[in-house]
Amino acid sequence: MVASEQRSAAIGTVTSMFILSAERYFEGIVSILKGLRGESVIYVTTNKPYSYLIRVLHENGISTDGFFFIDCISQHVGERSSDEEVNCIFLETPSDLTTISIAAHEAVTKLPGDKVLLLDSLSVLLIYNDANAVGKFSNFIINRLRTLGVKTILLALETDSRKDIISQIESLCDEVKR
Amino acid sequence: MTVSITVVLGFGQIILQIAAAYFSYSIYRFNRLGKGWLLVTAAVIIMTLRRLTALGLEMKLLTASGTFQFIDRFVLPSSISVFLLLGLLSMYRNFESFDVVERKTGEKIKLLAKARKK
Repeated sequence: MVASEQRSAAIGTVTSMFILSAERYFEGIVSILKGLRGESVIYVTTNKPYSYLIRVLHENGISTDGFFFIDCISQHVGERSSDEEVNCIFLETPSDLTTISIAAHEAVTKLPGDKVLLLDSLSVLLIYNDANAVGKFSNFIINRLRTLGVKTILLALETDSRKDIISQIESLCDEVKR
Repeated sequence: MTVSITVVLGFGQIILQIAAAYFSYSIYRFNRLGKGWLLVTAAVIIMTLRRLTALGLEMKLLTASGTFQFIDRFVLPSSISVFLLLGLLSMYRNFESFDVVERKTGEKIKLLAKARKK
């Protein structure tokens, strides 16, 4: 089974964690997104600004019509963010986990139809927050979305996979793919 | 007798204020509600220090010099007031931002859903 097929299969489960290598990180994301079956995507980005993501996803043949972005990085790095973007909410910083939870919960409950929340990524959240806070946040998001019947995809870098907190979060997931 | 009751009460108040400072710091650590909340913790710690010095004076362990009185009666109370004001203002802004994010996200999702229907 090739990597993309493995990823597609994993998406059938409720909560999946993908451990991606730094060299093939974005390729991995594209593969995951291509494996979705028409669900709306709530894309929480903490490491690439919305404007960049939109461009790169389009270049890779992914339509973002069914996407809603929660961009936690544009404002933080001083990029101009427009309130006129209908499919994106700009948050101030990746270190404000409470605000990210509020935006994610609001998006998940208000967006109609089947949906997937993609959290990109735990590795970046660990740069801006302490491990315990990221653990509590992940636990909350995973279990809250589980009760709402929303699929969740968490991403982490391979280099972080040996960290205790990533192992703990892995134990909350239904499936872990490397 | 009156003095000893005051001293006992003074120690009791100090213990309560230390507990308040601890819980104030715990709230910051638990919720990560912003660095501003630390100012509230700092204000409670200063209040505890003030109570401690007041007790020291009462027990005649400290003497109230001019500088001491200036710090005790002007600098520390002013710091407490400023820290509490800034800390609570910061908390207010935090809660306000939660509300704004919730409202904006909801509005955008509605617009997105409408656009998709078209």
